[in-house]
Amino acid sequence: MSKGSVKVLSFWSSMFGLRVHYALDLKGVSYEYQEENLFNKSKELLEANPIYAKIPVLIHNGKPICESLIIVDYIDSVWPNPHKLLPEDPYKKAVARFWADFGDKKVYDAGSRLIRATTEEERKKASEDLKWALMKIDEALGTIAPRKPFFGGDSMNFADVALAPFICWFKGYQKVGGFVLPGPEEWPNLHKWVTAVKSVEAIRKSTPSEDKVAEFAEVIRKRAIGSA
Amino acid sequence: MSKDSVKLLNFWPSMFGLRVHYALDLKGVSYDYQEENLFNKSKELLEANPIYTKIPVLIHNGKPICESLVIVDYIDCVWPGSHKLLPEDPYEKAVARFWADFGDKKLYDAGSRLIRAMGEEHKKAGEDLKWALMKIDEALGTIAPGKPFFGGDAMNFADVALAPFICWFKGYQKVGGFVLPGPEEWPNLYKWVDAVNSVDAIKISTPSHDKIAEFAEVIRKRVIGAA
Repeated sequence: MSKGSVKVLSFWSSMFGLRVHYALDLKGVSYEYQEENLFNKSKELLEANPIYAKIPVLIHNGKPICESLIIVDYIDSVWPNPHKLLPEDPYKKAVARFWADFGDKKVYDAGSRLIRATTEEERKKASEDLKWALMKIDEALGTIAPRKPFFGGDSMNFADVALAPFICWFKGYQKVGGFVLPGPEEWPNLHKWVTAVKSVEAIRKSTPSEDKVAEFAEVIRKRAIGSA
Repeated sequence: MSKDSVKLLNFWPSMFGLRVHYALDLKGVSYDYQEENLFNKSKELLEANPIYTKIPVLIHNGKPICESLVIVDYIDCVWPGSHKLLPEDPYEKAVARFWADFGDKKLYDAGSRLIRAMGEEHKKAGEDLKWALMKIDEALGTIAPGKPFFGGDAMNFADVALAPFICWFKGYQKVGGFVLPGPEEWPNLYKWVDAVNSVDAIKISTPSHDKIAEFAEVIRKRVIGAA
């Protein structure tokens, strides 16, 4: 099924890397995986991504593609079937791109600040911002795909793939940042979405253990405090 | 060309808004323009973009599309026939998207810090801006050697995303107190700048570089005043 050699350079807990795993796994594409040590990046990574020196990188037939959403877009172009991720309709496609990007601008940003906060003020603000972002996702699910489990309706689309990786970080955000996720009574759509995502077999393949991610979040936090 | 209603909500110096102008003008799409006062945003803007309340917003047949690169992508899907911006080839498309995104992550970010930061941070921002422009110069030489644009003979998605920063060069230099390296150092970049500036569609909406520089100084004075 795969057209040529496909290799993913990533780091096990990265939600950006997870987007790439999800896209490839949903489409049943075979690929090689290379775990990167972010304190001792491989020559291959540095040559594949000289601008940012970051994971994930997809190397397809020797050509590197960088930046997780660009990689997912690329995967969807090269392997449109099965499981097309981007809607054909331009407006629906724009909506999917918007919410994928929201994951970077608002969810990742707040979560990152939450874990690295060195003052109570920073922590509180980051926690509020994260709560707001997830609330917006709950609202969006209700508007865009009412009574459907995913942004993509009955199956995951580009927005779902972009946002789903944050689910395995919720425990870490809670442990390290004291962020408590409101329950299904408050956020029914988000919780239905989380349940639906977790029930997708392709998603279970590469999702790391939430406990391991939470442990890792603590490590990041200790380093952040240590260098403050 | 189209019997659609196309409206752009924007603020004149915004390079993000300029991306939308460029995409529409290159494709010859007619549109209404509404200048927003960012200190008194219109009800229309707040309703069209409740998440960010930012410009630009494209309103097409009553439906709002937000975030400049999402908007340009949308425009390219709706009006593909005239001046296709995204390459068909998946790898070339990914490369175009990468450099468009680089405009946000590295160029806009450095320029923004240049205007708003003080002391060491301000100095670093100037260096980061020069690094970003150097990378663009290198990329042009690698991706489209001997050609004026990222898109080869015509502007593509990456060109549209990056071109709006050209009219800010004067402002960046004024605020940063430096002179950007010239064509001897960055031959590809300057050939690209000349080529962009010579495109008729680009000339339609690009604001005066002097006015942008004045505007940049106004923001800078406010930042210094508040520091």
